[in-house]
Amino acid sequence: MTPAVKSYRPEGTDRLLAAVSPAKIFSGGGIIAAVLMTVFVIAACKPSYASWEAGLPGVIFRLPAGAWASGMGGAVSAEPEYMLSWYNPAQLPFLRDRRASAGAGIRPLGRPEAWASYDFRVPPRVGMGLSFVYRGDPFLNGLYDGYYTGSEVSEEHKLKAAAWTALSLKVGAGYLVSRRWSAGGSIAVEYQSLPTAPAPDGSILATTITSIGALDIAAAYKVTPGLTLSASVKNLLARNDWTIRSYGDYSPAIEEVVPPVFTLSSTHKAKLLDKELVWGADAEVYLIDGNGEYLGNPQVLIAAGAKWMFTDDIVLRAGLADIGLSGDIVWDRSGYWGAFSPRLTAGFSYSLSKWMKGAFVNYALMTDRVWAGVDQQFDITVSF
Amino acid sequence: MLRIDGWMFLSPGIAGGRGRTFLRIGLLRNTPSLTIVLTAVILLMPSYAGAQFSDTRQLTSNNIIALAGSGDTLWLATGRGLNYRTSLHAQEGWPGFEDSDFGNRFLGLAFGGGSAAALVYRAGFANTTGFWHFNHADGNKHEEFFRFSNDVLCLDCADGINEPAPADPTGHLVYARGSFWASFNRGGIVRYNPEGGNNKLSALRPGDSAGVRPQDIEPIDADDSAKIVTALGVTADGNRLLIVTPSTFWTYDPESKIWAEIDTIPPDPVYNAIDSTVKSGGFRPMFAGAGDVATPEINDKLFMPRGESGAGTLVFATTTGLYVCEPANPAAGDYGKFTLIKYIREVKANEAYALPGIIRGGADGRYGKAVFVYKLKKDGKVTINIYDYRMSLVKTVVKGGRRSSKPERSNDPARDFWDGTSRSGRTVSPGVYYFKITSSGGERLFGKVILAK
Repeated sequence: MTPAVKSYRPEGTDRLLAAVSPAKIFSGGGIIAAVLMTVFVIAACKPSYASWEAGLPGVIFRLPAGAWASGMGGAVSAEPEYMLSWYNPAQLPFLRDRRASAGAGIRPLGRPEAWASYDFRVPPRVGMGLSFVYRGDPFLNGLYDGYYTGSEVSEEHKLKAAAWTALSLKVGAGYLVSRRWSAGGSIAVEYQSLPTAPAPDGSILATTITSIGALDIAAAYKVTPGLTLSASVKNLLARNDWTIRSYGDYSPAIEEVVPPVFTLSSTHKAKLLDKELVWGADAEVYLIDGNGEYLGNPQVLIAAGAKWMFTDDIVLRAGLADIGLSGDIVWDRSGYWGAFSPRLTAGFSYSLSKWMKGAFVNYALMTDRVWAGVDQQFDITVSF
Repeated sequence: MLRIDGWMFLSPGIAGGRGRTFLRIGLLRNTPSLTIVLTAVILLMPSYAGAQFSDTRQLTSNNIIALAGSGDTLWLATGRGLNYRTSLHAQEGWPGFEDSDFGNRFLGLAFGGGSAAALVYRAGFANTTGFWHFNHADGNKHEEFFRFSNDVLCLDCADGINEPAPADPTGHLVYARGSFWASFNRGGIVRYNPEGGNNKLSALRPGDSAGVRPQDIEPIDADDSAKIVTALGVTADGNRLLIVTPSTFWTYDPESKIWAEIDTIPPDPVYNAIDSTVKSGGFRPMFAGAGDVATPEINDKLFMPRGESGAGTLVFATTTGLYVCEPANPAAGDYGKFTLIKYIREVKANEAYALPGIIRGGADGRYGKAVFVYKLKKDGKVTINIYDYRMSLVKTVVKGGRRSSKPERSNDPARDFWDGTSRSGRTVSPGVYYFKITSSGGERLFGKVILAK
């Protein structure tokens, strides 16, 4: 009888491996990785342009909201803790308590933001939620109006201060299909006010648009208690119909399709040093441009992040966001690397249970990609 | 009574240095020691008089309202103040002073006898008009204001209600025989004599042999169309006034005090040719070396002859700047190329902005692309990137372009611009975009531009 042969490993390695468990950590991510590789191969087939998604309609709402999310690079779509109607309405029916959040942040170059949310479950199989986000740039100072003719300034005068304001309200609902499957959707009302028309006295008249009916549809699947996968498409049927306000008779109409964003995401729970570690990965896939036409090849933005229960009262977060994948890696390396500017994120949460059970204060710090400063966000979240 | 007159005068061409302050102080005559003390104190203080003066090196505005001058001296009234040059072709910059409300109070501008005068409403005082006089010889500025009686101002007092109306100075100010003259409809003509001591101002009506104080002048009867002064001019020799009334013309010699009615105002061949050329579309200004512009609106014209040859300097005051040319024969209507002199804002080294700040459409396309305006501290290669709200790179408009720190603005308008497109040529979505300018010298500037097309 051949004795069983046991692989030799130094003592202690087992404990270390058990603690970190790369197999556990990466098993769920492997599915996502396979999907992403497929997308990437497709993306590599034809030349594209770096930052293809730059300047597409609706960009103002594509940044993560909430310090708890931004600290993880925004890679929370599979299993968000708060703002479920914003990130993934399919997770609403899995709630075991009511959750609320409110916070604010500031980005470099004068871009403040604020958000609030409330999510709750309607037993036995339904969940509902409401999310509100404000973004914009109220510090449009130092604008000038005028023009050059050739090399000469033909006209130049300073304009008064103005502001760009964008508001989004999402109402979401989800349904528990089975113990592992859920589906959900949300509908958004969005408003924008953009200064477009300098008046003779230096003030700037604004153009406002309101769009109702942008749909998010999501599905979530709990593979195991520690692994959740999700797929969603956001901004379906979303349109911005601008009638640009100007002085005089010229008022052009601009009709644009907000490109739907396909998001594949995963969340995996593991242990690090015997403490809970949750890591997530999101992939935003862009296929359609602002005219509603196929791009020719997709672009993918990757975000990955993790949160670690450092203590019972402190959670640490870190992440990487806005990693773009496109055919430029192969076809136009200089263009790709010229635009390559991922975002590094970090944050923490601190429990306020001494004063209010289930409450946390959250803070996140992010690089802004152009080194103008750092993004900072702060919010309070409550589960009750 | 303590009176301080002063004029902050900063012109290398006149003062021979970076600037001097000229002051004159009149004090109570029985306080000589006080005089000395106050003189010393005031000489050490910044001087001002009337309107606030500021050191300007360039035009106060591109909206040039009026011109006056002769020889090599040119004065301008703009919507935001006054500028002048005493050596039109050799001097750098445009000394002057800014007054943000000047365009609303300005009435007329004239030059003569080595000095200039502006006719203005007095700020904050209804129906009060006056003269600002600038004497190049001694660098003094003097103000003299007056107000007509209510009988002159009041258009209809039959109901017993005195409702003063503006004096309506008609906007004509001329120089003749050492004085400045302004026309005032039913108030006649007001004379400002800089050498008049305590009696600089006097008013007279057509046919009057002597002048009186403006506040004492009897109003011209509204039916007397031969006396209501609607416009003023001066004869070619500069010695007599030309007065226009609704029904006749007058000449007046201030020296002999003789009024004479004439049938017609003699035509000026040079200005007739200028007007005719402009009307027929002959004014097609070109920037010096930079191409056509649309014809601007002309507010005033001035021809300053040089010598006996008929040549001289022709200046157009327009809504978009000052046009200057040197025609050999202005009466022939051949003007050649005009040089445009404009107000260009000085850009600081840590400042960057887009012009226009809002990119928008329009038939003429003027505002269809934004030029990035910036000033480098030192020469270098610049890269200009455009980002959206998410700070994703939309486009690199300049990469490694060599720019100089020496000019007032370092940007190259032919290259440093963005038309709202992405790298792929697609027009991006309306919104606020952020641009970043980096230089090989380590400078970094940020700015914002709105896309509204």
